[in-house]
Amino acid sequence: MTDAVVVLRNVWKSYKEGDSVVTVLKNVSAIFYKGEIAGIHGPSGSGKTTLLRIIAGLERPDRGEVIVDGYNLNMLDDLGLAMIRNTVVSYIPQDYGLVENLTVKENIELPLLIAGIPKEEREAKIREVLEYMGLLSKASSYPARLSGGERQRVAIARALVTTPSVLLADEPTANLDWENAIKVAEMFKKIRKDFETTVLIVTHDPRILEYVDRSMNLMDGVLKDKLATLIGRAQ
Amino acid sequence: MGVIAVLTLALKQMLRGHGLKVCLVATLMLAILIGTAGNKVPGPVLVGVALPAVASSLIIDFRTYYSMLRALYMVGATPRQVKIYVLVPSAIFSATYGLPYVTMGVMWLTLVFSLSLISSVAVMVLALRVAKKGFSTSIAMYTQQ
Repeated sequence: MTDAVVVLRNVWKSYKEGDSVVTVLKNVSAIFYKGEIAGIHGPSGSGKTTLLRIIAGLERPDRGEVIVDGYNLNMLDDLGLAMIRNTVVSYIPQDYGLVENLTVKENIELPLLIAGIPKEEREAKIREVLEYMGLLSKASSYPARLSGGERQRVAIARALVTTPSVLLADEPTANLDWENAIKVAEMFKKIRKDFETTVLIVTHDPRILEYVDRSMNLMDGVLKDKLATLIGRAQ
Repeated sequence: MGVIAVLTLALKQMLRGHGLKVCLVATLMLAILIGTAGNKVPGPVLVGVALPAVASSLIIDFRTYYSMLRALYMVGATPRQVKIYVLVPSAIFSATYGLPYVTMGVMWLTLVFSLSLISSVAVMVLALRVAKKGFSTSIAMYTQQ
């Protein structure tokens, strides 16, 4: 577990809110390694989701450097960031981000479709990931007919079908009961073991942090992590 | 790359949604109105009936388009693919609504077509903007309903 997969260096991000400017991330630095499960913990509004979205290439930082699997996201245009989201990073939003009038199979197929992967190859990959996530019997169901735990598994399946280097999960257990939350946490451990994927989990639930290798605290836009502190001092 | 796939997705979503059906019914009703009343129906009335109908048809499926645009954006659709997804439903809606009248050669109805095209694109662009920016919990929970 020594290869750095995500590197954040002095990342700042602000938003305009009316006439004032709210700084969401303040000089955030961190390194996440291959095959690591890291938990970012903090209260609502502390900047956790913004941090994930920046790593996912969904937003750009105001200042600072973001390197994901060797790609410096600051150097990429919109097309480049789209490529990163399709092949390198997968982001699972809090509400799972499923398309309600597409079936489970069609939802999982989305990233492969837009990548232009041939049908036979798509079918094989979808079947593989459906089996892996225990969703084969739900392939033709619509998301509205699934339980919260099943919806979460579909979201993970869609994120996993492109075998990304980094999996980003925003409050993955927020809408689940504790039993299903544990199942999801165990699933992330299995994914890490089977695919060596780096998994970053943002949560305000401290119990989930029992399932991660390393946890950090994000409070008022400041990430508290020993490694990040060392990087900051070195600079 | 993947352009045909995006076109197929757009068509699939339109056929599974209700907006296009509402649009077709409204078109049929307007056609009957014109067929029975002919040129006695004032142009502004036609425009006034047609435009809200086409806009509401799109708005009926707004949540679907929004969730698809958001999903496409998240899973790495290229800017070109996203543009195609925005334009295809807009073009189909406006064509469904406006083309029959344009072919009749009535000036007011050509205006309906033009305005319906503009309103369709506006609604879809709005969906795209919300999809890109609207990751707040409130909108996220709304789409989950």
